Amino acid sequence: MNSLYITSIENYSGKTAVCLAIGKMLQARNHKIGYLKPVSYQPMQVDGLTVDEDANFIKKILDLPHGAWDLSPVIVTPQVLSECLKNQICNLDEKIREAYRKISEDIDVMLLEGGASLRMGYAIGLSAPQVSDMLDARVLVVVKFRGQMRVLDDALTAQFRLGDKFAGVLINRVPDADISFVKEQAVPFLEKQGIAVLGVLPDQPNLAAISVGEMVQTLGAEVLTNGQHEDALAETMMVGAMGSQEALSRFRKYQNKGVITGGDRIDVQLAALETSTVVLILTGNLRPEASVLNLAEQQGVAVLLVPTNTMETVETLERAFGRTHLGHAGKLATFETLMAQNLDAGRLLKLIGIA
Amino acid sequence: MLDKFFNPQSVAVIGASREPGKLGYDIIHNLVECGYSKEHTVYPINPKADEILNIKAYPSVLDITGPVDLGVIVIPSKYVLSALHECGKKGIPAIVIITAGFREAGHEGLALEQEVQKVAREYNIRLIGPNCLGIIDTFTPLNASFAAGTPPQGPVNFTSQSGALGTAVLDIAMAGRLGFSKFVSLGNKADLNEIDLFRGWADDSNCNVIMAYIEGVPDGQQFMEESRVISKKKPIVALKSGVTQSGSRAVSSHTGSLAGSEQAYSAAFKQAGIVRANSMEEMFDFSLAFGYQPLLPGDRIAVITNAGGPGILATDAIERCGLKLAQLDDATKQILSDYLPAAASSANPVDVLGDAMADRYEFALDKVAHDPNVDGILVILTPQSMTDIKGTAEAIANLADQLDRPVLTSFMGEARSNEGIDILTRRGVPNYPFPERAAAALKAMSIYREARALPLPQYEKFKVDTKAVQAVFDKARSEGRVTIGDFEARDILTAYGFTIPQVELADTADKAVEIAGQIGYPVVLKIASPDILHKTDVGGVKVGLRNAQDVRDAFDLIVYRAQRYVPNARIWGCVVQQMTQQGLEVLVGMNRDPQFGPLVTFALGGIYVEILKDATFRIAPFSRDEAHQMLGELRARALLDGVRGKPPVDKDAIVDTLLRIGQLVTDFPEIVELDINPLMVFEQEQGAAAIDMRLVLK
Repeated sequence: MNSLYITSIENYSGKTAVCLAIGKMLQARNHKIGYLKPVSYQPMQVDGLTVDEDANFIKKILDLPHGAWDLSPVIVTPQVLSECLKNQICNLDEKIREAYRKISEDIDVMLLEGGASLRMGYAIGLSAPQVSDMLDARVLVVVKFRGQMRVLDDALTAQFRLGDKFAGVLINRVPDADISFVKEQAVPFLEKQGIAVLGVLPDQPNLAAISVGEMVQTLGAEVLTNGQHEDALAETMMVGAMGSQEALSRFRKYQNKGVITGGDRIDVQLAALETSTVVLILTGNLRPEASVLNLAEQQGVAVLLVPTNTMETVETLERAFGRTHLGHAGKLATFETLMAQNLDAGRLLKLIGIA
Repeated sequence: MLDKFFNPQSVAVIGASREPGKLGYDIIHNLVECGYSKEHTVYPINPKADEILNIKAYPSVLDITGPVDLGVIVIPSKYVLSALHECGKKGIPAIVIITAGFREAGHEGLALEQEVQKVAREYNIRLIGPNCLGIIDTFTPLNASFAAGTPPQGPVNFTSQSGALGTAVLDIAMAGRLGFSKFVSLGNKADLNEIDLFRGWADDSNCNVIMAYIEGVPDGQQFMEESRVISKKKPIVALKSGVTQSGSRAVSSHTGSLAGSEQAYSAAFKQAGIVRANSMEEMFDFSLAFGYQPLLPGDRIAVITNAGGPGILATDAIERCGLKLAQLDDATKQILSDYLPAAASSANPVDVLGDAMADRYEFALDKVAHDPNVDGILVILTPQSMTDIKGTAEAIANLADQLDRPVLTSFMGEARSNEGIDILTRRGVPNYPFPERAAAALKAMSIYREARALPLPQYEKFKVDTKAVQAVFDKARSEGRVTIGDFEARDILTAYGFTIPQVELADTADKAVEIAGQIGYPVVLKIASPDILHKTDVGGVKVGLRNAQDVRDAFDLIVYRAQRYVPNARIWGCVVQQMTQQGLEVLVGMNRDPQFGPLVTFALGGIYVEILKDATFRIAPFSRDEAHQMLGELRARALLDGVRGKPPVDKDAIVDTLLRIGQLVTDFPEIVELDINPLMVFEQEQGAAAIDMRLVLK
């Protein structure tokens, strides 16, 4: 049995998406796979039990037999941390080993999802190098492109920290303008440094987009327009707090956007509807004028009403944005295609010993 | 088409009522009181009444045997559709819907209004309203409104988008200050709008001026095109509300559409020859002058006064608003000085002194009005102890009747002056309580004269390459972009015949140095990125680079800054540009207005536009004359003619640029914003170069 530990340099790099896409690819090749998130910092409640949010999601998509709580044996809540610090020793290793044994029975490949960054977990003895050592897994690091210099440094730092366990990197979200730099200059350089670059994924703005359905859920919004909007994707969110002329000028520059503004700001609402807009979020529980709803319906734009003020609404969305948004069926399929086109699967399989 | 509204042989009032206090009663009452029912037929429609105000009532319009020209619907909104169907079956061609509860009342009301429009089209019915006060024609006479009475006859046709404002205006008119020929409260404008009325009123012999209160127009371009023609025949005085940010929000809320910008309205009115009133007071003041006096043939104004102070105030007001104080002919001055007392002033302003009686005013006005150097006269009177107010008013009115140029008065004061003012008002001499307001009215007449004298615009068409522009747009769209920056914009500029400095794109510093060598030093380096439109904001421009080292440093610095300040921007490198000779930096821009379309801006660059907001606007397309006007409207226009030893710049090149941009944004309605900033304008006959351009697509 072989294990692949997938981690990233920073939050929101696309780690869970990579786990899913690799999992589905292996399943398609008739490999039995298991999944474990050894350490979790994202607790959520399912059936009265505390589980990891990503683990719960992956379990569903990959249709895995074990309960979500088995897939995330150690959830670092404030209480767990405080116990650890009091006893000076954590004894969490055993829980992880036990979960791993249980899940890995009859399994060809174990996918292990690491913490959000390479720095996490040292305080409780469960950093990426420690866990990958313990479970004897090779480590794949997802590097989100953050600039030409930074992508190189991020890959080299990962190599330095992970040592022998380091399998390679997958460079994600590379803007069009930097693709040629990454492919023609960065990859040859890194390979020369002994770093396997297993894939370079171009940036797809709509993968970071948020669907109207997700917004409705996140905000607890009331949908004022008729029609099916849940799957519409907003690629950017803008706040309309200016006069209508200025709003019009700013709104024109962004396509497929969501606009958050007060329910009484009819001028801003009309300006948004004059430009490429997917959803209008009206704050303060102030219902819009009939003319706005009518126009929105004609144009297939969703109008949501929320009780919070504009600032609170923005904050709620900011907290939700950037998280796992692959819940949207279209987005997951897009990402899988992206992986299929850009990941060197053969090389990856060789690295984890199943070729 | 409007004839059936204003001169119907018979009117049916659907929803007529026997109960005073109900709208359905008021309308029948007005039809009787105004005298309409004396010579025409009124059909009250009410299934429960046999007669209303002694007029036989009918259960339905279908029960009437004779033809019906006009229907007035004043029943609850839920019954309006079926009433309209009946009117359609009866063949009534014109309907006024008084009833409220439509578009203005929410979602369902809007749906109902759309239904009403559909039914009206089905039966070929023309509609005024719904949600309006009604219509009045004082000459027919017809008062099919629920206004509290009928205004006096007069030369003004008035239309108001707001019914309530209409009632206030009618009330003022009924006090005797202004007489109307026609009044229309347009309400929601489900069918007829201002332009339909203007078109019909252009040849209305009872009307000397069209007065309009407007919140928004449905089709800005059509409004302009038609008003331009109509205003050649009849002056249009319009008050547009919602010019401030909060005001425009209120208008949006009222009309349900995104309000056009103040600049767009201002430009559109100017181009259409519409005289803009900025307040109710101005709307009245201007309409009085246009309504009752001949047009002002020129800008030279004479003032006749019985007091020095008001005479000086009038003089100031006349010059301040851009009119001229007339230089009286020597012969006139001689006659005046022979006749007037020694202390009087026989030069303009003519001071007939505080003890002047009617005869002295009469003499002075007669002589001044026949002076060849005088185009319009303002007569001022202050009520001094011996002043013959009534006699003077009569004398002025008698003379004014015979003149072919306007006479306005300012009988100042109230308690005593009113007896004169009443005479003037009745005799059609506009009186203003203060000379400044009279001067403003004269200025409005002067603006109209100039606008009317302009020929209808001829739009020039330059030979351009639209395909090349389309290719640039297609490429941007295929990449999911709506913004087009400098480097790509070059193809557009070339296609539309602009002069542009030699440039080339460099993706590395070495390449930049190589290009600079070919172009020749000094050069300019600018960031090339489709995501950075405001290059100077991110330090993306370096000018005056004199050698290879400068270019290399600038390249690295610009790219570094761009990456730092705009993290996800696609950076293509830098464009290396030939440094043009120094000229005057101006800006030409376009912002597509939601109501009027392409609003083209011209301004001087830098602080002139940013701090002083010294910019001028026109809706494209516009003529060469209009483009020239734009240059003349800048406060800092003197800079174009050269100051402090600088030579004048090539104004024709600016005009050419404005016209070419006007053509570009007309050819491509998908361009929603555009800036050429700066346009470097050189000395006369040296042309201009578009240094930088950005645009945004819909």
